[in-house]
Amino acid sequence: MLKICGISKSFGNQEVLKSVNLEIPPGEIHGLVGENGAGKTTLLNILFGRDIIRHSGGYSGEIYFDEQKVQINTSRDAIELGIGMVHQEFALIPNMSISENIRIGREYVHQPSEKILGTALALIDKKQTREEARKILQKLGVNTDVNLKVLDLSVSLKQFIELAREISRENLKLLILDEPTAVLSREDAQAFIKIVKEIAEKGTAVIFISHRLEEVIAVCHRITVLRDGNIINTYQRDQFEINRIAESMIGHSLNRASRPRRVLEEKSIMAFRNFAVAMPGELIEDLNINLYQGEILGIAGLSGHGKLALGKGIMGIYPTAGHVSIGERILDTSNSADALSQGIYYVPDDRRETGLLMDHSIMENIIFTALQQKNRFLKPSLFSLMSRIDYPASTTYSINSIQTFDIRCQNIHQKVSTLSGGNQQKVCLARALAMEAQILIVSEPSRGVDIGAKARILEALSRINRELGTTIIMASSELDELKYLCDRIVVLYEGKNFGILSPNDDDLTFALAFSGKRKEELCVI
Amino acid sequence: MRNLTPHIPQLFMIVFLLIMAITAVAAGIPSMRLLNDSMIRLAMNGVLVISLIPMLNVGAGINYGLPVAISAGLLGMSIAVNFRIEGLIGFLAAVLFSILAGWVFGCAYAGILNRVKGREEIAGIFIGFSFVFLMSFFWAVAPFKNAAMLWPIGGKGMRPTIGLTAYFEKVLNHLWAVQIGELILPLGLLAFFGFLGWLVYALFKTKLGLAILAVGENELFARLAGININKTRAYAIILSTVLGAVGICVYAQSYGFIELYEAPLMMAFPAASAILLGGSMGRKTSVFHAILGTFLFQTIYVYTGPIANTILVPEVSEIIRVILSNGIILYALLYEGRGKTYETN
Amino acid sequence: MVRKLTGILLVVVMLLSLVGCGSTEPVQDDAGVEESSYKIGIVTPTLSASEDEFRGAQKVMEKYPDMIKHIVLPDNFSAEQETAITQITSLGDDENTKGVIICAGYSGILPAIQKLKEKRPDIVVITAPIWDDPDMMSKYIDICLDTDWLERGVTIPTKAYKMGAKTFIHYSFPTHMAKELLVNRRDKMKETCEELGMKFVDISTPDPQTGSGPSAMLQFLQEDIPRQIEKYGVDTCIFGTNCPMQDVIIAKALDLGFIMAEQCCPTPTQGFPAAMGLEISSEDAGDFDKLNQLISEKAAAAGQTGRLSTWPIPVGYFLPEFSVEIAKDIIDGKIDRDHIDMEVLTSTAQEVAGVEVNFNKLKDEIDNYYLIIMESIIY
Repeated sequence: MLKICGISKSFGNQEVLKSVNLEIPPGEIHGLVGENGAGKTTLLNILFGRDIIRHSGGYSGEIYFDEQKVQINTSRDAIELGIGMVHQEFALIPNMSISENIRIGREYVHQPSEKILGTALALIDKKQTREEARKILQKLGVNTDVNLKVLDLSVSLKQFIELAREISRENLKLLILDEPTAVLSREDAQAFIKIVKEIAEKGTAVIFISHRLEEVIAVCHRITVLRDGNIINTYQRDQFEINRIAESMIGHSLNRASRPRRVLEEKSIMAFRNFAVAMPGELIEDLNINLYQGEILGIAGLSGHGKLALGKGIMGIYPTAGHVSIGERILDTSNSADALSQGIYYVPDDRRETGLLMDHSIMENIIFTALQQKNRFLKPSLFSLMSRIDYPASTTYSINSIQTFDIRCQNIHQKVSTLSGGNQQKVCLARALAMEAQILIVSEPSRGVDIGAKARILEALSRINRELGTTIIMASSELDELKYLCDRIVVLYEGKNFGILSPNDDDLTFALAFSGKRKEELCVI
Repeated sequence: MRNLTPHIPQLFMIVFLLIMAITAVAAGIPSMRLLNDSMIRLAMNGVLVISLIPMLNVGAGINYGLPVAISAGLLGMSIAVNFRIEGLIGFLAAVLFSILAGWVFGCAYAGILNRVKGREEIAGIFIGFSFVFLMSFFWAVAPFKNAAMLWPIGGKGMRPTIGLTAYFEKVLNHLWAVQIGELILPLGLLAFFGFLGWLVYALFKTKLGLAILAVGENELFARLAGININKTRAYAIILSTVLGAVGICVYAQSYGFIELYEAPLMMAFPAASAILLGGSMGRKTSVFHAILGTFLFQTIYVYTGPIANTILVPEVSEIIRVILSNGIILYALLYEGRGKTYETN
Repeated sequence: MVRKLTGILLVVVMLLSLVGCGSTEPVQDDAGVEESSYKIGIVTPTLSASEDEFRGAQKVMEKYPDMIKHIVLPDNFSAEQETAITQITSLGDDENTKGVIICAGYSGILPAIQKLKEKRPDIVVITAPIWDDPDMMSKYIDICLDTDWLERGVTIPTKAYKMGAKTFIHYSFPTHMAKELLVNRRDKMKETCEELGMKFVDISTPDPQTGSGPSAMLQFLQEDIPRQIEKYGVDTCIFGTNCPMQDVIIAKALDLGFIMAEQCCPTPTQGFPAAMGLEISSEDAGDFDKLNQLISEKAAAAGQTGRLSTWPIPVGYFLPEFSVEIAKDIIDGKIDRDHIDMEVLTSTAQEVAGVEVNFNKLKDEIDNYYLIIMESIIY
């Protein structure tokens, strides 16, 4: 059915897929697993002809579909070949009804009108469209009014409608499911999987992607593990073993170094009580942790499980519930100024969107928050709002920062938009340092940063912690760096605290924890 | 080599102006007088254009609600004239009253604009228009006492135009005016204009100024830095309104009349055109953009009129000027749009 | 605090405007009108749209308090034409109404008059002026009055010549020069100048109707007038076709000493008050002799005696009263409405205006459409 030969793809000079080969016969459910950034999504995007692939220079390698060599340039090409995709983020039109969404682009039309007006202008046969939609949903075990607008539906129902849209296509040959069960409850997920199995039995090939390893094992015929753009292994059904797959997903990294462990006094400086953050797609629920003075606390977990939400919740970007206290004082999480005044500083993961003033100079970016919140770098004046910036002091400080953090730039007046990712991240850290924060919350500090800069950023974080005594909360998808820096690591699973692990725990324990499993539970199985 | 594409409108305008200047000399139009006129126009319109900057930089777009600010200035001047304060003191008093009125109007205006975030420009147009009509009611019944301001027949309500000859007509234009040959340098006017320009320039070197720029560039970033977005926006809008109020005072003293009722209605558009012509790309608009834009926009008026009346068929000149300046503004807007799409990619 | 202050200010402004509307709105209380046997309705624009007509109507109302019913058209007439038509036709509902006088200067009022006449053919209708098709108007309206705009193309340059002008400058702009009447008047001015041996100069200003508003035009005048006077000397008469221009032209005339023979709308209330900063105390309000005297004094002070001129009272102010007098005479049977004697018109006008008023027929074949030219006052 589908054969992929030597597919490679790079974004800029970063190679995300390295000569990938894959073959899927009809009727097979093929599991695709890998860590975030392993190249799964890129592979799917290539297969489904997403614009982002074409805009970033296309791909190399060959795709055979039904023994025919094909070139997939647009999603339209993919659909015409018979490839269907259920998206992770819903590709539904909220203001249209269920039936309209299911048959969109393929509506039943009144035959006479089609003859006269052509396909594009033919009148839609609403009755038949509705009837067909109802039948398909019934087949999926969903009984609902097909006239409802998608916008009013629950998340799991939307997922079923996506599936219904794909399987209602007459020519469907390959179905791609990208994390289809992530938003479903356990019961719904089981129902969903049952349907997928039925589809496969009719001869449709399925590519199934999920972070729930046990689910993948239960449903798939074969499983391929991707890591850093390479196919590590393809397992047959009889080779399925959850910790083997987990291990090959994470692999053996180059940087296994670990810092000497230290024993810290368990003196709580910040406490989360029933803390919840309503960040869409990254919910945190009912979090209870104490942060100890002087430690580096890691937050780990797969994407979508809430690790990015902690900092954003504290800074008031998303609504929160429960409370956070600093000593005796309860923090006002609706206003970032309160957190800042308590010595908390947050370095966000999305540098371009929220972390930097891209159009401003390195200097202005470094001094900005300290200037606004602490009145540093200002000349004394009657009204602090109107006080002028103290350029000599700012310049001196910025030049020092450039040296401390080794920011590679022409001068402090260069715009940050012209800096590389790593240097931008260093600017963010330099700003945090200017704030003299007591508690630093860092999110994905090494995302999109090359290896050299990554080492320097981690080094800087370590120094800030050890030399200045700043307590750090660090959320990251990179287990290596968490293990390297942190004293304790909180694993979040489905927005809840799954457990606090030690950096000395082995990778397997982490990999299982990420999928919501404990080692002990496995032994029982 | 710097990329000059974004500056094409300005370069084009400058070349066009140079051609005009040469033609003017060739046609025997006294060029010193034209130069004089263009300097006066720069300063008299420049303050209104500068007043757009704080709002542009805070991300509230071009202040099409300029009539609100202008109404504040008219009110300020009317108060000064009502008390018959004359000369430079009269002008300064008018400016002072205008600042107070501008502050009050600005607060209300900011309150409304903060509720229509993202649609400030279109909201501004409507607020401006409706405010002018609200003020028209006010002018018709304003309890001013100076008979020189009232309707000549009824003796009640304000006249549409109030002559300033007896009060502060051209006090700035004549202040420290230095004559060099045929050229009269209105130093006082230029100094006042320069001072206001410097104030705005200096504003963006302060804590508040930096916060305004940050809010304009990246609201989320500003929020993370603990900045109160609505308050900062309000400050910028009030500043724009106050500056606009002062701007109309400078304009009126040079023009010699206070124009009430519907006169402020269209005043926002030349100012907006000027700042676009100056190369403003929305946020991060500098005083330099404003000054360059005003100079180009106004000087074209100064030159096209007389040249066309001597050389071309009169009506044609006007049509050419309108096509030219509007075309260039369209280009500037297109380029602005293009800049934005580049960013998102 | 700030919000409160602003709120209070807004409320005050609103209240003021309400009170203001109340006081400027004509009193429409018609209780106890039995003293007068009939009523005459006057229709004018609002005060802010056109002061002269409004005040003119108020003046007759003071003269015949029980007879006159003053109706004000909507401020934005073109948008609310339906309201205007209803207002006018409703005048016919009152049996006592015998005459209707419309001083509006708008087009599109004729349908209202047609309706009114269908219902009440006995009502005497005088328009002073409205601007619809003259042939149609003369059918339905008893007397149509208007200023003789075209003839002024002859009278203005002639007057300027008498005042000593050697050059005549005509300032206008494309949208005005697209109007037939204004172009014809300009051509007449040019012709007259040539006949009299004056130099005619036609100058185009920035167009106030192309987005930038009138300020560009006015600023151009500020700069261009000194240039032209330098070129042609002070014995130059300047005429501008647009009302806002008059403020600048008169102010510059005081400053530079050139001749201003007439504004676009000839009245002492246009241009002079603003340019001269005239202070008219409220007891003198509406006293045109006083106003003209004030202007003469200011002109003399500027050394401009004999170089500024206009019509002594605004036509808009004169026409309501004049029309009421004529309507009264018709209703009282003193004038036959089908055969109007020009002499009667002239003498009544002289009485009302205090100066001589000349009447011309618009066309020979229409005998109830008259155009007026008033005697000038030279300050």
